[in-house]
Amino acid sequence: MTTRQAILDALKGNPGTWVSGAALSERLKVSRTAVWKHIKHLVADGYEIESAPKKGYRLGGAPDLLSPDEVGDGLATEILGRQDFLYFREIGSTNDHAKHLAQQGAPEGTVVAAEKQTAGRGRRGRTWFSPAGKGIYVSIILRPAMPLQQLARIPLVAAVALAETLRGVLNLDARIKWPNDILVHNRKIAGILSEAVADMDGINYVVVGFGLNYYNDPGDFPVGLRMPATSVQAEQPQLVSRVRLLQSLLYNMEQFYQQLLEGDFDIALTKAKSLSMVLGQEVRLEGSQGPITGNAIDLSEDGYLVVVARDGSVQTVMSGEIEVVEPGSSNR
Amino acid sequence: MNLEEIRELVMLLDKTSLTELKVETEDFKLTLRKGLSRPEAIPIPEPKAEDKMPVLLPSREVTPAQELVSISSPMVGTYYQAPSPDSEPFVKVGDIVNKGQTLCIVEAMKLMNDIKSDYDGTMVEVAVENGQPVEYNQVLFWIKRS
Repeated sequence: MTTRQAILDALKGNPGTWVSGAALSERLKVSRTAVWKHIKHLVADGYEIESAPKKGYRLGGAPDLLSPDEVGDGLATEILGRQDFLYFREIGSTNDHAKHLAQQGAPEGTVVAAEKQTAGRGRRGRTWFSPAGKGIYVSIILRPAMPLQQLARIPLVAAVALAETLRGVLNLDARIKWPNDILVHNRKIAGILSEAVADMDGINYVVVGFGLNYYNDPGDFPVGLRMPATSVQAEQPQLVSRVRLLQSLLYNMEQFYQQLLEGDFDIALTKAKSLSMVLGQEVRLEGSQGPITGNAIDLSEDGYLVVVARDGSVQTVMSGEIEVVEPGSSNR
Repeated sequence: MNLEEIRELVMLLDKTSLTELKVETEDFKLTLRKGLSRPEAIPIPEPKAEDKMPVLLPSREVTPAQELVSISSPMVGTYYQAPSPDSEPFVKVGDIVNKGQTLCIVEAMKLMNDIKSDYDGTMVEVAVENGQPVEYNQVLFWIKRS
């Protein structure tokens, strides 16, 4: 435990009461100036800490911040978030920052988390609504030692990890809209943005970004979203903290990722199938080879969508925008 | 190995998607390569000028072939020339490109792979159309090295 975490623990152990700088200094064997510097850092991270002469410091409220001190305390991973955990009150985009760090050689497992994104991104120039303190905006750096041909398995693994986390921790009926949107009751609760730099020589790095709507009220979302949105709070009144959810997400992601590296994609693939909300449905795909309408019957061994088109041909699709054709609108 | 046999091998290479063919025996070694970067490696008599099909781009005719290098797709996926449908392409023919610069995105399973230039040079040809599917190892760009 770091000194800063120890200070935080001491304050948390005495909620609403004053803890003197002298007592902290003595207990942690650091100078009072050092204590003060750590307090300043915690305040900068968003902790509500009052300070008063002769009284000391007092922590107000129970913080649910995605800071390394909070997330690191009880994190069960071996790699993710272990070495470098970067935390921002506000950032442009966690994915952009993670890519920048990866380009400069940041190690596998580096985590970039933020309370707010001013330029939160989805794919193809889309934005991700990222108001302060309302969501989990986090990106991780991976440097997978695996064949190039398996690179595209990562988004599916990330989707399974997030859906399993929402199911396990919050008991939400989280389902996967192929390949990696997460929906609850047909509303999008989370998105995943996977970006890689790989060439014929191999995979340099992959950044996987998660955006999860958490404390948003249903009315908070901007109008005109591509898909109706929802949040954890809107779906499950029995909330756990964002910190606990993120700890669990990082742990699950690491488990499925390790299995993938060990050549075992089947566990994730089987889960992706059972949690899929498109298998068994009539779907319409806007793909690079034109639109396809047909029945989504399976995922291939690589996680590609297998569709029996209306002309009877079987097509395996790895790209494209998908929508479920609702009964009654099948004239499209 | 006689000239006729070599000719047959050349024809064989031409009909397949292979780009290189090596034949080696104790006293004999032959390497056939196909592709614009090393056309001089094909050991067949130069055809008469009027037999040549005018398939080369103008920029290539004035470029020593060995300076042309290609960038290939490391994965099967969809080719995107720009970060979003509304934005300018990462790169156009005639642009100066730098090593490490993003040239395009290849997407599969919603994983966006930034394809970067391995070279400093000038973009000579963009070999794929925006939004088109690409194969593993398919050439995306030809760059004239500087």
